[in-house]
Amino acid sequence: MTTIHDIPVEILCAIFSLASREPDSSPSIFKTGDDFQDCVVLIDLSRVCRYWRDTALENPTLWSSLRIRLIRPSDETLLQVTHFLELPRPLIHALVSHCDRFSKISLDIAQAVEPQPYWPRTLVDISKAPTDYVTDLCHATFGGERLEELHFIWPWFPRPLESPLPALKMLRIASYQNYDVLDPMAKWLPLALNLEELEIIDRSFSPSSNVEEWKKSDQHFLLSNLRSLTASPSLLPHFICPNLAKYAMRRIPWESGVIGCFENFIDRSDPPLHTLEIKEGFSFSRENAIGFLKPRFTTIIVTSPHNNFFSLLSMMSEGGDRAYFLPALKHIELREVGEKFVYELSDLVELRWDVGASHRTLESVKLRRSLESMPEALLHPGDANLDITSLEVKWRRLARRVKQGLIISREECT
Amino acid sequence: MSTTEDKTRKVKLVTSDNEEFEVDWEVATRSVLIKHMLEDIGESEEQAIPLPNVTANVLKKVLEWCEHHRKDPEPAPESSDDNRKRTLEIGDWDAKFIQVDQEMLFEIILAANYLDIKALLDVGCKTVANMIKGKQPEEIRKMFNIVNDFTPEEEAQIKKENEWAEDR
Repeated sequence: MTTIHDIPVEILCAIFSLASREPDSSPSIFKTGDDFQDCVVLIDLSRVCRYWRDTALENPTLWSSLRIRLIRPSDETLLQVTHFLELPRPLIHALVSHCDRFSKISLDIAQAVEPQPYWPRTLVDISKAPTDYVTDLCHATFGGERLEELHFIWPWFPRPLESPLPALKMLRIASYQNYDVLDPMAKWLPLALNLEELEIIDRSFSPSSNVEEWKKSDQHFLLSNLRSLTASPSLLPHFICPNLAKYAMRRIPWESGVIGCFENFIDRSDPPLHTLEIKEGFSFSRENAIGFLKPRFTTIIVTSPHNNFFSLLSMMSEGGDRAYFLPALKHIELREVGEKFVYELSDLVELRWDVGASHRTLESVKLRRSLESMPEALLHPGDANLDITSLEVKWRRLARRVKQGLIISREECT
Repeated sequence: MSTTEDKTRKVKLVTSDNEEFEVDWEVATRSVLIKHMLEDIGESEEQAIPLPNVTANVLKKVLEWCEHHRKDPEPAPESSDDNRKRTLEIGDWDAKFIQVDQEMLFEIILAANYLDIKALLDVGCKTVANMIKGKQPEEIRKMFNIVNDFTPEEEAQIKKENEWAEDR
């Protein structure tokens, strides 16, 4: 009689992979949306019998990725997270037990612990993490030569590294509770020489009190392959990134000194930098933003832009033939733009599009989670049959430019 | 690339229990293994293809699937992206087709693997994955009659590793 015992190991692996994967397109073996239970499927399978355990634990493809991501979790999920954090042997211990199997590790519960204005909830206080987490994690040896991507919350992974991480391409460190973010940088960056993407989310750092001290620090990290850097401008004095293409910051700081940090970084690194991202668009104002709006940028990405963003980027030069800020801008990517800004966006596009073909640089506007009522007709650039009069008045100015070739695209993904 | 001549051609298959099946070329070549064997033997219509790893009752079932899917486009080579997008969803016809007892289910999976019929193997794997998803280890053991062969020491070690998961 044929039973499941007759199934060869490679087919069993395929079954495990299917059973442990969320039905969406996430590249994670483990992914939790609001369902914290999903992350234990593979571990459950490894507890059935010795053959299944060997199969589940020894196949690197099954363990290639771990992501625990909570986006706007339910109250129940938050309670579960709190519960796991407070257990004597929490989720992190299981991760440590299997840490040498992953090529991607992401502990992205930042959104569960970070207060949001629209999301008033009881927060998980990670400062209560018992110190034995730290001890155990110090002895962890995860990743090694295979690790390609790591996201973690400092100080949860304070592992003193001993060997290089040649495969590590992406590192994301979230720092909380006034921990000095230079510590993890000093531990990880010298061993991650092939990094292509680095993100340092430093939520507690206050540049106003520390910027001078940071400037004095002589720690420099040469990251020759880095293409994308997300960090506060205050951290830039510590980087040399000769191949950087994209720089992102959470919010534009008010302190005048940080613009100097940014400018010195560009002088020192001389990178082919062409993309600027601001993750909190409401921080955009004339006073603090203009120092960052260098003519070299051809792409700007802004989340939740407000009036200041639209008005600054709609300013024209005295002759009226080119934009005053970012005159070479080709691509605008906006995220989470409310419907009320459709007129501001129309102004911006109109002014940059109508400067005449010889001076026009704008090519595309990409919208993510934005302007949901925008008609489909605006997604077909150069459509000579586009009937502008059939559209609501508020869309017509954009539609006219779309008809002339402006590319508008839209993504709804979270 | 198949020709019109190929589509009218008949193929003889012989199972491990010596039963002979005559099927359309288009149906038989859902199996990559049979397709390659046919390419190897050339135009000879008389030569039967031996399938020593498949019994008649299983082949009958497999051919039922191939007949239904005879017009399906050839599957594209699998990329890692495709792999990520795989879901546990099974089409209505396939779901009904695969409603068989466990022994036949595993026979179909083994046959699909041997005959290299990727889409049928996928249906079988998804069916088993759906059966085990969300089940506790003990439920899985009971379902498939699997013996818990861990030593007490191993049990203790596993428990220690996963204590956090015990308290769900």
